[in-house]
Amino acid sequence: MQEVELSDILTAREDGDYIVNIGPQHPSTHGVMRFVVSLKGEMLEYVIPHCGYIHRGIEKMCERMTYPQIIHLTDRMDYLSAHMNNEAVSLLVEKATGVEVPERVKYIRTILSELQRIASHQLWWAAFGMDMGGLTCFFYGLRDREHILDIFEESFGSRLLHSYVCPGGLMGDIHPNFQKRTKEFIKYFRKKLPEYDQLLTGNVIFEQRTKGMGIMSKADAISFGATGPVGRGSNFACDIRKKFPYSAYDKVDFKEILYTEGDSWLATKFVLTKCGNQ
Amino acid sequence: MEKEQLGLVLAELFPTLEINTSGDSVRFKADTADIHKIAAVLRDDKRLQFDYLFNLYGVDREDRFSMIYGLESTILGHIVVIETDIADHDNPIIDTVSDLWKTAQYQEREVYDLMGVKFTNHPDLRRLFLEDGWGFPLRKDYKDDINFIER
Repeated sequence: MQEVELSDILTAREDGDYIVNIGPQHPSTHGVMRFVVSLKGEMLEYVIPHCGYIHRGIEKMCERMTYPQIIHLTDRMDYLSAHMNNEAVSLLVEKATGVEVPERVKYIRTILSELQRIASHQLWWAAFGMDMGGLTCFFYGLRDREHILDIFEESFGSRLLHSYVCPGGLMGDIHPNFQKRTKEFIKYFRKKLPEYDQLLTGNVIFEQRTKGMGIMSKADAISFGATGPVGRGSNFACDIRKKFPYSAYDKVDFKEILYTEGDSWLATKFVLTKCGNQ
Repeated sequence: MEKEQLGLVLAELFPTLEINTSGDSVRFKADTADIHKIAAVLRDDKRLQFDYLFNLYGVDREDRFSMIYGLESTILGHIVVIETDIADHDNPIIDTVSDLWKTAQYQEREVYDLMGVKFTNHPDLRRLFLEDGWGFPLRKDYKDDINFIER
């Protein structure tokens, strides 16, 4: 079988197209992602992404490790949402070995996942705003993310890579202050949401650069497997917490937010609404 | 659709296959040569409508490779898992399903990159992460003299 070469794809394009290299650029990790784009005038016709050498070989390392050891690798899969990655592997190991965890653990895991998710979204919208030229977004987003990281630090001794959720339960109990501080944070955070709306989604510069941009149809979102905010901005109901509730998600009442237009602005709006919804 | 009902529909469509409904999800094994044909039926049949390929991965079983496909219908809410064995371990080849689900384009490139399974009719089967001539690191017989510590 003939392997496809990049040059074949490029020469197969129609005459009159410009082939331009963009990057290496930042979105995944500094200096790795590169796009070769084919342009007709100002319209993008085709993109060939080059992921760079970003594979960490975690699967291969897992072949030689015990399950509790693997947990420490899963933190690094997405260092902004370590808890969820820890939990995903823990749930799998528990299912395979038939281990039942206590109810308390399930509730703690769920609360942690939600806090972690908000922290992760905070950094995302903050950096997105910054990339669009709104540096204020970055400061405000990170300011409020700090509150969550402080709560984490108190309970688990670390701010990012906790390795706190492990097969069979948790590494230890939460700090006595956890409950109080989390309640305080929720009160504080709700008040901040309109601020984000003013800064980012209500900002005319941001709106002009994202509304009607990068539209993905629902059928495409499903076919490409574009889950998360991208998919739900395109009206693809893919919330795993609703579809296959794990830990204590079956006991929580929350709405799955869906938008229909499928552009970048709504995907952003979606993330912010999701923060406020829980 | 419920598991048992889904099993009956599948049994009707593919009478030669053994449909297993005893586990968490409906599973069946198919021949490698039939995989594209079966996949097309699963996607297009009105009673099934598997429009979402949520996972596709390879397993090195040392004497053969297995390809496993996880499909979900976002319309009807049911799930099926298909497994197929590629008998030729030295030169594993299977049809692509990337014309049916676009997500398979990259997932198959990943399987090719890390396991060396080749997909016929794939539009752009280049390595995804590693450079040409690296070898296929997720194969069980892969050796890395520099970074591996043998116990």
